[in-house]
Amino acid sequence: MSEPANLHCLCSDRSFEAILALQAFAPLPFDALLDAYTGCRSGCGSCIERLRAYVAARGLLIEPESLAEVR
Amino acid sequence: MLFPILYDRLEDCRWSLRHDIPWHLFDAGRLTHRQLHGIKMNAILEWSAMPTAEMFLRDHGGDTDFSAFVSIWFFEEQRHSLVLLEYLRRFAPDFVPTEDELAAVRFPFDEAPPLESLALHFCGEVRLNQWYRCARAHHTEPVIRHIYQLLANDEARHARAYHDYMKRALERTPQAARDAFLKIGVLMTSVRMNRAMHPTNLHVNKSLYPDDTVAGRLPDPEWLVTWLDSEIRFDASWESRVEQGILGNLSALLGQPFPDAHALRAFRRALAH
Repeated sequence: MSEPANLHCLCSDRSFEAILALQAFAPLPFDALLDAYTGCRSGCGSCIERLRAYVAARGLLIEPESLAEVR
Repeated sequence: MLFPILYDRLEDCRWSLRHDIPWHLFDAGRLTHRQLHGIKMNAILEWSAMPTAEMFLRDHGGDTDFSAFVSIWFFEEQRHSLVLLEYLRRFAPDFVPTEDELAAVRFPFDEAPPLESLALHFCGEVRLNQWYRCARAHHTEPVIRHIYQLLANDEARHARAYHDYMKRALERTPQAARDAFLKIGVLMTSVRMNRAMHPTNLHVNKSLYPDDTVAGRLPDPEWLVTWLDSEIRFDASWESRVEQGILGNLSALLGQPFPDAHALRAFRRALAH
């Protein structure tokens, strides 16, 4: 499977790499990442699954379930 | 085939004219005649998806997958026109375009290289997404703001679908696709072009020249530039978002960083030597 590409999210006016940099600086669960660092919620939504794969491939994906496990 | 995947993706996001527009929130006090004129012109511009769909189906005869996708794209673009027409019908019937005004933007487009058309319409969708977001920011009337947000989101989704077809083209015919995408990318991010760089503003039929742009066949041919410059104020900050949308996604496709339009031009020049 090919590496997820560093797309430019139109609704966020940001590249995946720029979103990843924000996530690296202040990590958030994926849903909160969408709210805080992207415009995907009020935008078109096309990037969400690709962004999840991109963030996961770089070891920065935090799912809500994994937070529950930690607690 | 991308069509079944795209069908599902777009089906999941489909909105209904009847159920998803908050018509009851309409506030007549938050609209000007000039804004209504702009809504009318946008409704007619969206109608021009019809000759574009005809062009796509003719020029992509060898690509059954993309041709199937055009059915969704055409449906959604016509719905954009319809929702704006419905808005005018309900709240400003004097501004509803006549059937002749709609028909005027349906005229045959010259044959165009399919890969260039694909890239051109990707860039067009990126631009339209920003135009509609800017229009939403300009308007204060709640129903039209809601409609412009829906339209902007649809255009972004279309851009991503075109981008998927561009990626597939690069896998199938790498050199031809790369050359076509770079050519259009350079054209669509050129500072020498005016800010109305959209397929509806390009000459598309030599035999009808100069009456062969969609924008030029609107009842008010000067409207688009006035709307952008003086009404919604599509300024350099908005323009920069368009450029980054095009460059960033071309960069993802071609595996080269394009921080600005100059880098894209330089890359294209280097390949030519």
